[in-house]
Amino acid sequence: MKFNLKILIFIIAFTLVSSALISDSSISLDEFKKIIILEDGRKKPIDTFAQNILKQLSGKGKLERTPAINWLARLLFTPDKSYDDNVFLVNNPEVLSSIGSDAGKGRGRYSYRQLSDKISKLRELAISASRIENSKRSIVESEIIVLYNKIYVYHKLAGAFQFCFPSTDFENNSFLNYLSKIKDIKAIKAKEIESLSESERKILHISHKMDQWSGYYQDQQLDILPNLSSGEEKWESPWDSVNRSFKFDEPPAESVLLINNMVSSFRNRDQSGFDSNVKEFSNFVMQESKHVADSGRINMEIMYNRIDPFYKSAFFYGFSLLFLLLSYIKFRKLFYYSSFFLLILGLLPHSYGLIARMIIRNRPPVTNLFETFVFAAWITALLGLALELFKKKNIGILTGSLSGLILLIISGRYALEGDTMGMLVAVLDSNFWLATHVITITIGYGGVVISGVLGHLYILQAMFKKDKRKETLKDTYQSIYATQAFGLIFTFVGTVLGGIWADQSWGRFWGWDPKENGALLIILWSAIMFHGKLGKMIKELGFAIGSIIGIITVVLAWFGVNLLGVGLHNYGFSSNVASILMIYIFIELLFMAGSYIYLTSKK
Amino acid sequence: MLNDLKKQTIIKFSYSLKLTVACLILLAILTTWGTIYQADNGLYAAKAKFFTSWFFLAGGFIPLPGAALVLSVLFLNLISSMIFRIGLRLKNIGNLLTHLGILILLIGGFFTFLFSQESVLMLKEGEKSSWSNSYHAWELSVWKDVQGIRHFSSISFNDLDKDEKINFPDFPISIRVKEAFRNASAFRDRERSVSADMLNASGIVSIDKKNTDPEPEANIPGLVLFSEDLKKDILLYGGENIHTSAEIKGDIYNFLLRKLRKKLPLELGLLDFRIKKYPGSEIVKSYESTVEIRHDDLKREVIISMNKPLRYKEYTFFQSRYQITPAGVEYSIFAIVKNSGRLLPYISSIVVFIGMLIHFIIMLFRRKKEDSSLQKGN
Repeated sequence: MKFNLKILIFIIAFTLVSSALISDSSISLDEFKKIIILEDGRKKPIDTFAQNILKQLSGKGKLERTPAINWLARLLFTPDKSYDDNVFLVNNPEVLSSIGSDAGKGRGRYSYRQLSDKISKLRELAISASRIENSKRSIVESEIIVLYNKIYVYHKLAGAFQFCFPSTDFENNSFLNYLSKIKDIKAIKAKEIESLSESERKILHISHKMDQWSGYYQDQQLDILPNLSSGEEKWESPWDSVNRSFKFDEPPAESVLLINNMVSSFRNRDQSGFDSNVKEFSNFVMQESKHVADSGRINMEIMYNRIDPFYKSAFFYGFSLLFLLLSYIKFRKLFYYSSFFLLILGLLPHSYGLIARMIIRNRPPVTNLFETFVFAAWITALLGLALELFKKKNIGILTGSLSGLILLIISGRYALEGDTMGMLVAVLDSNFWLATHVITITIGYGGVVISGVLGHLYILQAMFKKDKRKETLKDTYQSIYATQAFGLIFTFVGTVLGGIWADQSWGRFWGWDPKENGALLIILWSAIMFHGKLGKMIKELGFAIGSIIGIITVVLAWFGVNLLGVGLHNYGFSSNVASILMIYIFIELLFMAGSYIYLTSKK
Repeated sequence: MLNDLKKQTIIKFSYSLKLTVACLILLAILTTWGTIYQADNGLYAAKAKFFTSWFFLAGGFIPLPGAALVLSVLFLNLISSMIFRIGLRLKNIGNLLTHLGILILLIGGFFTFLFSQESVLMLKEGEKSSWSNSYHAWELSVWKDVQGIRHFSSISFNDLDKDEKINFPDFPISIRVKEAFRNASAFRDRERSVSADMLNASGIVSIDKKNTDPEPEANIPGLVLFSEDLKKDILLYGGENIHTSAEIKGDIYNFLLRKLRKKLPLELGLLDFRIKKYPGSEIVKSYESTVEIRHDDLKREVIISMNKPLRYKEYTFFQSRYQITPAGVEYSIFAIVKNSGRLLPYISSIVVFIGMLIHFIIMLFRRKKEDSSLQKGN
């Protein structure tokens, strides 16, 4: 029986691990994924673009567990088949009732078909809401604008290859068919209207339709065609090229014809034709772009997207934690070693993810808020592993996997804000300072967080661990002390480096800016703890509680800018973050006060 | 002798760890409070109230120490601790260095607080200047041209008091300040033309007082002067870009209320301003200015860009911002900082880092020694 249980657990663990490693691939878009697109100043695979757009519309990087690229391909090539995809996230049900839709009653994701007949009403409301000043808009009004923008983006993408599709406007031919005959059309247009034959009149009518279409499909967002003719690097959408040809009475460009081949093979479900057409298009783009796009990096990014490394790391850290907890109940050794192994296993994709991002962007690992969490998670997991190797008392695994998991979950929230590899504004464009200041300070944050997690552990051990209590507590206290010192040194050095960077770029070392004050607060708090302990004003328990307050200072420094409503990311999200933070701080304060009263009264 | 001194109550207090912790806690409170205060009242007001002040009144009546006072006490505490507590012993070298570094940091902060000067210079392509403007201080500038030579006299706006006469050592004119508003609105009246007893070049007929804004850059001053010679009011407003002229005793005098100017040690000319954006986006990748600097008959070209300022003596010139007018004229804006203590933070950080490193290594060895002696004891 015992043996069977062991096998069963092993099988479960194995299945979980392997399912995390295998990703879904029901439709082969392997070639299509690699198409290069310029979005927000960065050349990226269309695979990433698909994720960014889907995140923007639905708040998720996948659609019902299938990769975003499958949805995007459906939307681009066969828009009518994507009408039932539930991609429009509506946070507030009042938005639906205000446009008179009965699609649903709660927060949820709705399909285009469910909303399509209410779009004119939505548009009307969005226009009037947009006239209200940003800060004076109600939540519903803001949501209406957001939803309308989503529909707008969707429409744009659905129309991106419309010139390839047969339409009744063109007697079941496509816009492109007629664009190929533009010289003939031009000749007809030049003739006197009375002299036209019946078929020529039809063509004239079609040319009017073409005029309308060309006017309608302006400013498309799918910049997949490089245009270096002006000397500077520009990318344009297929419609830009089509419209230019139409304007100057020229036949369609070669790139557009290649897109047409791609579209028709996809619509005919001709897999091999589709692949070879996509390849031909990609080769053409590479040549046209004179290799400003690096195909090695593009492939690496696709691989990175497919592996989804941080998701897997979180998964492994989670199970590492679970197995460690199980080891307290049964099969001590087996579970302990499994959890140790899982922590290391989690660090592998985590490290891969960080390195891959560095290579793809040619940047140090931390350049935005999302990356600070990912990197701090890596540092804490690594510190946990180091602690475990030195102490072998489970506390390393516990703190490492727990803080790694929590920080990765937080990073996941920030990943939903859009491209996590955005371009850097001028003041941040310095790999040297990003590599020194930002890295050291994030390591410092990681150290203080680990110390605080150990602080929780210390209190729990003091409350519940009866046997060998003194020895265990001494051990945990030493770890708190060492990690806090580690955190202080790195935060201090990081802050000073930040000051030097500020001196280099703005001319002042210190300016009492919220972000700077946050870092100062962490340093001050650590210094208070060390001096308090040195002067015997606090004891070990006090130091442990202090380390928990240390986490709070880190959290304030991390989110402070959002909380104060300063900066670019304070739309809707920050009020949410603020309330979560308040709840978190409240719970911590309760925990600290409660345990302090309990432990001191017991003595 | 040191030991005797060490026992005196006041000295004991000066190096006590309790004082250190109290100062640190106060500083932490001030930092948090000042940060929250910023959200509503702006950085300048927060700095003035919490960080550069010695005392401030909480809630209007409870006096509390400001960061300047707390940091000064901490500074004394630090010196005293280094002498009496840590002591000049080799085994404490790491600890000593760390605290010495922090001492230097505080000195550097104090230097900057007292002596650093910030100003701004905005140049159009092709333009040059050896003067920079203050961010928010104003001055009354008066000048007259005599045989092609311009004679200047400038008085800081802060020195102008209501109902007092202005003393111009070089000009034989008699001017009295009628009104001096730190923040003002100016009105042009279409119905009324400027009356005969009032002088203003931009058609302003009255200047009203406004409440001062906590952000000093938002304040635009207004000034009403009275010329005793002409028996006329001269209205000046900070938002004007033309000067008002008056003929007094046969000479033409020009009056202008403008941002306080500071003489630079060199002349700066903007040759070219460039801005780069990421393709297909409005995200600015970089911007930079090619400038020609001239000092002591030497001329050279320098590129100033974000993160790459120009250093000259104790002056630093930063690429700060830019402005492009609707007509496409490019202006480059430089921030200029004069700070003689600017190297102190650099020295301090190196000292602290070395100190912490040594301290940590010594601790590690001491721990190992203790562990091994414990094992031997067992």
